[in-house]
Amino acid sequence: MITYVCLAILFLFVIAKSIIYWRRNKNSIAPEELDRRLVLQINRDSDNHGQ
Amino acid sequence: MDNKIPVQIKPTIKTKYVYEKLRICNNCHRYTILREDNCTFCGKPGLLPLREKAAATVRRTMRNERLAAILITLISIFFGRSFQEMAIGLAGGVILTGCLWFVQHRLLPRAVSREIARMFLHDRQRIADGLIANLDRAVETGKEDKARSYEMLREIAALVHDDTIRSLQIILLQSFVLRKDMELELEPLLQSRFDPDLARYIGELAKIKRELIKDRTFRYILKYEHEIASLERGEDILAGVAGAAVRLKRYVLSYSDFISRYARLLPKERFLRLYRVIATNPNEPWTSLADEVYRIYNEKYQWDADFQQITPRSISL
Repeated sequence: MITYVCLAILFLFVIAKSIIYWRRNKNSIAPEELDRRLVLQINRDSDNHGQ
Repeated sequence: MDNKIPVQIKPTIKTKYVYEKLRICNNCHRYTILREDNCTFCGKPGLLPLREKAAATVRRTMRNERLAAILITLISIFFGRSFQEMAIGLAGGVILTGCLWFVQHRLLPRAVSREIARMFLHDRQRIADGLIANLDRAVETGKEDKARSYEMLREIAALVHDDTIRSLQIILLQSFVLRKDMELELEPLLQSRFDPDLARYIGELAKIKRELIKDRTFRYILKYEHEIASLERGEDILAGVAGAAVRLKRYVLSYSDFISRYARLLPKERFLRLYRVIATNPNEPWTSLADEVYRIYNEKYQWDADFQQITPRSISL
């Protein structure tokens, strides 16, 4: 009985993780976007420090 | 040479993306953009590129998930009441863990990108502190080694777009003997304000590396033409830039008014090129530039053999 419960838990765990990874995959970030975000963040921060 | 020093500047380390220049110390988790062997803060080796650090974090998380799956599999086998149940537990666990591994493996690259984005947000203050420390270090280094200081500022400026840093770079460049074989830059150094040192630097580039002078530079020169003209040898700078513009017909067309104001100051070789562009393209809208060029030609070069080889084309109707 416990064996099957563990397998069910494992099954739900794998399904949940797969859904989480799949959803994150849909909102993936391209390297160009990473670059843009970093430059924007740094230069916005440096503008704030300069004020 | 005005106390200028001859230097060797190392070429920029080129990366496809700017964020690839950032590195994080594996010991103290501080950030740096400088190319150094040891961390500036803790002095230990172990600087990792951002992507590598993010990948290590993601892999560790994924490994923990697989370990959890394996643990559940082992528990299911341990509590099997018969050999059949144990076999089912083992088979089911292996298949499900294998599925988990497959999904993780397929989505690893995108998970790493997400982790990098998360690091940008989560560590924004640390990144800013790291860059400030890099800047302080670059300024400090300038007291002993100007070339190295310039290299450091150049790395920082790839990410921090600030006129103060650009000014510091220009000041250092102006203290060097500039040579044609040096890896020089111009457009990243253009500022939103007028900088006399930048204008002088452009004037020098017009002599040794005029190909660096492009549209953005021309627009900067046009914007601050009056201020540059009031500098000592300002007209030489402007004439140099006009000379750089004549290398392409597109520039001559776009900046014809500017060139016409300084055509008289062009050296013969540059004026000859300008004359050739005008004479062989009579149908283009040169405005007052053509009149000025022909005026100068008649005054100074009418009998010059180099100019006689150019056959002006007639205007086609």
